Amino acid sequence: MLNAARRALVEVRAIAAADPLPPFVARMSGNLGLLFYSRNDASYQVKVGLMTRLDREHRGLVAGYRAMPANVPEPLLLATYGPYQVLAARGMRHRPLLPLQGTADATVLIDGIDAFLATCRRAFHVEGRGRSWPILQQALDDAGARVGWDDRRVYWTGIRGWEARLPPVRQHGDFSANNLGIDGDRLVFFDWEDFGEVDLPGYDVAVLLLSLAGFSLWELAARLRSDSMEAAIVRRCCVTLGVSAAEFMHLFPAYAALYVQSKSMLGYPAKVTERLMAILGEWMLLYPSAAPAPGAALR
Amino acid sequence: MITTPDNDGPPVVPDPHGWVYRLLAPSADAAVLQFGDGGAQKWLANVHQATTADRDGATDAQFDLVVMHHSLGGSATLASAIDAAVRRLKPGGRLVLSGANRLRAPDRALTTAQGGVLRATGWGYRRALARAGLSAVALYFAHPPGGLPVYLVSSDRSSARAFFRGASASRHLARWSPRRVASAWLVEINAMPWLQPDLVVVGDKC
Repeated sequence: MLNAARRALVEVRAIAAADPLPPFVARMSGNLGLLFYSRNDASYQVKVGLMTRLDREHRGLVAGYRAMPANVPEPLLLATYGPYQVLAARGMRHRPLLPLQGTADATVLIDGIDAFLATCRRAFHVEGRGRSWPILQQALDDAGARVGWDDRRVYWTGIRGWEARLPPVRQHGDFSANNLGIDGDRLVFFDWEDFGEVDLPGYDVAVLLLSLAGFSLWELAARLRSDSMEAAIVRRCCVTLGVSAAEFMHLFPAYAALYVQSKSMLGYPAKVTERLMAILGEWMLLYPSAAPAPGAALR
Repeated sequence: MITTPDNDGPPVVPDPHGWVYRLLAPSADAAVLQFGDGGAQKWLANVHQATTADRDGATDAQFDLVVMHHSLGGSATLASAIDAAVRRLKPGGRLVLSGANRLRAPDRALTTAQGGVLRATGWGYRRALARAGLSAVALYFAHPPGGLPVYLVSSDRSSARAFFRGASASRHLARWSPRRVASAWLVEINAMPWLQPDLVVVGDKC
């Protein structure tokens, strides 16, 4: 595997053919991720496909980098060497988003997410109905049936008219906090593997907020009722999305159903979808009315 | 043998035990002799688990890769174990040795079925491989310790500092807490790799 990574580094001219392999950090997460550090302070990410092909991630990375080159690693190469598919990208200096270090980080996050949404709206809009709206009723039906949500069709009837207000925008697809980094006053976005699988606006923000709240809707709802960073994110993002905070919270069952549907289609293990099924169950208890309650979501 | 599959689904690690040896193997089809329960057979196709004959020196078959996983392979000392392993390497072959760090109190039983405890400092491991005539000797550490690592990190300053800075940033410690300050100092002078519990050292036979 190191030989495949070395060939990639040579091909992108990170090293010469005769150079020794630079020092690295290797991480096994199904596929093998390698971060190489060259002497001139540059770094290179090399991923070796062991459990999946890397075409989808490469496509997402290319789209992300085109739209926001300062915030997404530059894809350099997708190649196959012997039995391995290899994806190389330029490394980006960053530290993990969490734990946030003070109010400055919170400000970077709030501003960064707002800018991210604005860029996505411009760069990733989809002509026509897209892929999420046409399957949303079925996704709600499937997920709702699993948690015994009797009002799911009433809910669908209530939101189907929002389609014109929420035209499709391709989403990052896995926008949880652990896929975000921070470097000075900018955010860095990683893991574009699920890019475009969902195109209902607000989906990425919903996943981010849930991940910040430990995938507990109870916890998220409590934070939104206080003077919290999460409430500030929702306030800012709702302006960009063109919905009220209450309407945004009302869309959570739709986001949860699309999450379950897309991750199941992609073959993710059940434990990944179960946490969003639990969100749907919590939502039924928190918001028993099938209609949005204006002004009730935020402090 | 692990190769890129045809499907495009999400990655799920079947069994991470042994991936480090696949990473460091010279090739996917390398002939491997394994001392100890390293799990190399889960990631490599051609692994021969050491038998009594291997430990007694009653066979002289040669291999592209010899793995010593927390095992002296029946030898009395680290030096003799490495010498025995090097004799089983083909020219150009590679020795990969995983052992405990003598500077850290072992938090698990280290005596293996083959008998003998593989324990030395990072400097001790490197010196032992160099004395056995191996070249390109490199030290890594596996993290987290305990046999199922997620990370393998070069001990070089650039990679180790990046790893520990990231780890430090993800901890909830006050900016001026003594633990944080001491840890930051150890990272800056690149002492951290030498203090990790699980070390991996690699050398090539000329």
